[in-house]
Amino acid sequence: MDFKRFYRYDFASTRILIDQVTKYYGIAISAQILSYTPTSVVQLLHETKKPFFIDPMTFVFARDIDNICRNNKIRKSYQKLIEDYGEPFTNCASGTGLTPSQFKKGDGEFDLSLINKVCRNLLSYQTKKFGVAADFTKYNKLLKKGISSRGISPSFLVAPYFYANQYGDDYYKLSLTFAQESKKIKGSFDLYPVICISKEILWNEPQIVNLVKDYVDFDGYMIWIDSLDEETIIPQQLIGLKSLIEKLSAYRKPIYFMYGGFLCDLLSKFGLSGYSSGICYGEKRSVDAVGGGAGNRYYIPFVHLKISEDLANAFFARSNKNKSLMCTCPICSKIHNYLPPSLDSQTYSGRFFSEMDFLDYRRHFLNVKYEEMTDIETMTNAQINLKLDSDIQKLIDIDRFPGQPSELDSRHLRLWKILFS
Amino acid sequence: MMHIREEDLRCAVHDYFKCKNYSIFDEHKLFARKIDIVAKRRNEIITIELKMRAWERAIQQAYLNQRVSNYSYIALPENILNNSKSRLFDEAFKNGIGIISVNGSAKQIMGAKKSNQIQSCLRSNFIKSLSSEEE
Repeated sequence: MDFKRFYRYDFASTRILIDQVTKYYGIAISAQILSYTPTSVVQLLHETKKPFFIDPMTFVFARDIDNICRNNKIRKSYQKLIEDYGEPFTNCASGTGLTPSQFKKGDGEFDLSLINKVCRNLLSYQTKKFGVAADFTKYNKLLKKGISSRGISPSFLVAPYFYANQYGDDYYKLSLTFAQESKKIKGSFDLYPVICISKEILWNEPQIVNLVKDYVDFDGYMIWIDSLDEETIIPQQLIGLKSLIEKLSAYRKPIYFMYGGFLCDLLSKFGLSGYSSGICYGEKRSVDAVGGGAGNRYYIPFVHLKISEDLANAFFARSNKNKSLMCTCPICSKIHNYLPPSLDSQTYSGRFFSEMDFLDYRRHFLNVKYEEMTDIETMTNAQINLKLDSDIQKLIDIDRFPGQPSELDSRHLRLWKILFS
Repeated sequence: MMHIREEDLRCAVHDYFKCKNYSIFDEHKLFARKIDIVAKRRNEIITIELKMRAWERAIQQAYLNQRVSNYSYIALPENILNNSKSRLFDEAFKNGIGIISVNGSAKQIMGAKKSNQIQSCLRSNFIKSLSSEEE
């Protein structure tokens, strides 16, 4: 099974998703974006003709509603999503999040008819929202361009889900019930539940075993471990992660991580089928993230992490040895090709980064990630181990500078090697 | 020793460079980061990072500022400097960073070396953005 990388759609990345179309597998669409800008989404999917799935984003309605507010009002995109989802999500407009008790009957059991009704609405949204793309004026414009929403449907449906603070809590049970009810009405589509849970589960092997048993007999799985940071992950978490993937993969169904980076590429060797992330952001995510943009980040191939353009510039400017480690992907090579190689590292790095623009940082990321993925697919575990050793050695040999970020430490690579030991 | 706030540091450093006929820019961006104070006189650029205590971070930022400035400084309250170990001075000296001490007024206690890390592209864009702010 080929490893599949999905990039999350956002307006700023549209151009890149179109012009680098051969460098990734598919597109992940957050439901609030689809609700807010359906015509843009239809246009993108039409132009790229890529597989996609819709993240229903239901978890946000069971967290602090302030997370999706701006200036004390629910953001417009989420207001639109609430309108599309209907009851009981409309209750969140008053600022109160959903709780499991709202899905229970008087006897304390889950109200399956209510849950089934919500599942119907939300799965129908994932299959039919494209048919009612935006207002008629905009849609007519698309039709004139020969763009139709007909024939656009997701690769699989994603069951509504909520964040569970621990295995077996009410939110866990609610998500599982939503997944089971969704399965009953999925029709001819594949349906994937989202296992969205805290890092605690990774420390508890019996809970991992039980979780895997709970989620038997689905068409595939999405996993989201809250705030799991690939750079600062600790050995016990890494072992738990590997165990979860290996156990789920016994079902021989696709397993995707909702957010991830190079560690997920490595986990492909243990049964992970793919993952999604933003383009050069969103390799990890907290369920309580409030959004907001960061400056440009530059992905350093042998580090397998990104750092700010400011620090990347300072790093390569530090010495000719560091300069010799600069990336040679097609995007970076275009700039290298017209810079005299004889320039000293300060001047070279300064000129290189002054040529990089917003889109270049992201195109570079996409190209390097594509190369990484292609390499890993063809490598054995022993070869990957050697490759990590070689990357660690490069990091040991670099010339350091004051304020050097922790990403340029080799700790994360040493840790990831545990997977192959 | 009076209690000193970051704004007191800023005012004292402003006064110090204004007396020498520099134009002052606060919180000017270099990439996504903001430099606390930029002092400009004709083609000469001096950058200053203010810190109440975390001098290591100040040194790191001052080092990065050398890509656009002729001289890079850190400014700290006098009592922090008095209580610091010699490592602060060693690090600053090793990296060519100057030190300004503030106790009511600012005074230079270690001169910065002329930066040998200037990146002409970055500096010229930086100067352009300073000029546009001046206008």
